[in-house]
Amino acid sequence: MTIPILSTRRLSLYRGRRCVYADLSFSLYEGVTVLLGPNGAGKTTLLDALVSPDRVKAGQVLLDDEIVGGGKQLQTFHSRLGHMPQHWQHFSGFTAQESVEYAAWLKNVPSRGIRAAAAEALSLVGLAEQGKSRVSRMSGGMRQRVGLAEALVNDPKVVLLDEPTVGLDPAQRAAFREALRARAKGRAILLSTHLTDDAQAIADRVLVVDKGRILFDGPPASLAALAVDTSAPNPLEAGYLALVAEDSEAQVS
Amino acid sequence: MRAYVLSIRHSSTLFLGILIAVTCVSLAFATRRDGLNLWPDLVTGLSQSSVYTGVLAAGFCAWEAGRWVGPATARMPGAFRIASVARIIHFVGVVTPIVLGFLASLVTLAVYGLVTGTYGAPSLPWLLVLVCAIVAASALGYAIGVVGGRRWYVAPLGAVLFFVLYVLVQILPLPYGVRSLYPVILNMDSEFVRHIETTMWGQIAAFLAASAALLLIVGGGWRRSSRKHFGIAIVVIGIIGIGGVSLVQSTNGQYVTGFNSRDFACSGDIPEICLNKGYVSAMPELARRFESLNEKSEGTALTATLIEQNVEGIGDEPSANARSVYIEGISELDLSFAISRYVGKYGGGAACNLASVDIDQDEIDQFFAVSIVDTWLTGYDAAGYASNENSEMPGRAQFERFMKLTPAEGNEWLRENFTAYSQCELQLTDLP
Repeated sequence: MTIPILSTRRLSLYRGRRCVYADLSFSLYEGVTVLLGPNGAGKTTLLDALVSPDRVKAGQVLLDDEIVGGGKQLQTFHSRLGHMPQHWQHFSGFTAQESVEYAAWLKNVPSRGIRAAAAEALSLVGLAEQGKSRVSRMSGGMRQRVGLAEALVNDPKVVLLDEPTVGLDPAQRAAFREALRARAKGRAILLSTHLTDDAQAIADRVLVVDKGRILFDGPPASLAALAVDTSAPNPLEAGYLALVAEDSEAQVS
Repeated sequence: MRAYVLSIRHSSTLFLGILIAVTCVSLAFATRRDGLNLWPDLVTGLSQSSVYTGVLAAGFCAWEAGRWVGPATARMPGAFRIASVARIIHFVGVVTPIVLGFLASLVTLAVYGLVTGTYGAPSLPWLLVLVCAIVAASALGYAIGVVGGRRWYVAPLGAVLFFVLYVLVQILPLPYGVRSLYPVILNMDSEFVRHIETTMWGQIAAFLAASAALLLIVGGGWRRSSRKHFGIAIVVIGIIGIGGVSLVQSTNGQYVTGFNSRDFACSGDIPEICLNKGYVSAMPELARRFESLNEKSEGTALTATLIEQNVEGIGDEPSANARSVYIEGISELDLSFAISRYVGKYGGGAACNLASVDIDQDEIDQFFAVSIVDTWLTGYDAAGYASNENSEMPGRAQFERFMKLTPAEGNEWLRENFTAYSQCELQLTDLP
């Protein structure tokens, strides 16, 4: 039996006083898992909880089957975690290399290895030649890849990406996905998005969440198979829409 | 280390460091007095620059914190480093060029001092106080930047708030010790000085504690995960800060006072004048003025034989057979004022007492009579006859007659009336 890299156990999450998730349990394994859901479904809330398990009021987050607590345990967890927040911002004046080096420092990469780690991370996302370029002068897609390089610089076991492809044109999205796909081996990547073509392109597994529940957990092909309209150009999107519609009807009835 | 280097490299305070060096050196040079070349004057300039450099530091640090805090905060949730550490390292990176700028000004002044033979030496604790004052101003600006974020008004707000705080401390009816917390308040790091180091260490503690408290508060240390450590740190900082302010308060904020170092260069016979070595350029003119005084006061107890430069306050203890003279500067006015103070101290003025509530006309006349004699002796018009030509000041006619006397005529009159003069019993009618 495969041991999950990251899992949650009876997680209850709140936004203010409103309960967004109650008793949520799921596991992440090696490969890319795409977290799909409509706007406001709680994707960012879930990712924030995984990034900061110490702030969770009820339930547990486990890394390699060990509960992540506070203090040193949390620091160790963070040193093995890569995270790209929804609104990634660049530091004014920083080059790509410097930006990733700073992230490496935040992740406690040993001082002597920071430069090499940053250069390697940039190389992985296809920006080896742009290390000395200022991030502020880069295109949106390149900036997002700098963000991905930051998330990968500490060679993390778990990578959490919150809507990293929003605002990118198709070519930039393709480059970003390619960079991500290349780093999926040996780590669990959870990518939150509401773009089904992201899932179609790189997902090993899809989680669909809405109204505090997991509506679907399985491979992309299985989600596509739920499609009612089989002539749709994107079968995964058709399956996703059918799933959400069916759930809404069930809630009404 | 890498984060520290990156913070410095991208900080606009690199430019500010140069600006601060230029400001400090310019003000230090501007505060020199003509003809004198003293370290205390340079230090006075440095002290006065604190307000300007503080405004600059607060503004620039607010700007730096504002543009850094957004991207940094977004990265903190998944970071191994805690937010407080990241912020403190960034702050240290931002403030490093500022401190280096100040140190560069010190090096420049030290080289200047060595080359030109500037007399004296700055107090090291006082220089440390000035550094800590800049750090505290920077911390204030930085805290405003962290709270305000990347907005256009954050930098001006930091600068203005610092200045408003400074002005408030000066104008509010606070105890003097508290008002003197910021270095510029007592800018008289005068002639040759003895520093009260207790006050300085108190100020250093207060400034550093204030800086640390500001950084901890905006560093997010109060959050649940680090609340305990934050609490302990705040208590320790509070104790240090309160201790520092209490020290300053207990010494009434005094950190500089007069002190006769007795590092003299002496010249002349009668009178023999001993001046602090930083003041030897005043010797010829001062000797001329004392010779003139001696000519007028020959044969009386006012005649100067051995003069030692002194300042008022601690250390005003000339040798047993010497008298002291206090010199503020070496301009014409300063030197005539110095002679006037000598005569005021050893002549009849010392016996005149106008401080009592019940002053009668006789006492007023006695005061003006002595003043007229003093003005003739020294050339310094303390009573202001020359500047009030049209007024009805008592003794105007006597003043005008007395000032026309030759030294020999005046000396003859003074010998005859010295007892009355020295006891402030002289009447206007006694004057020729």
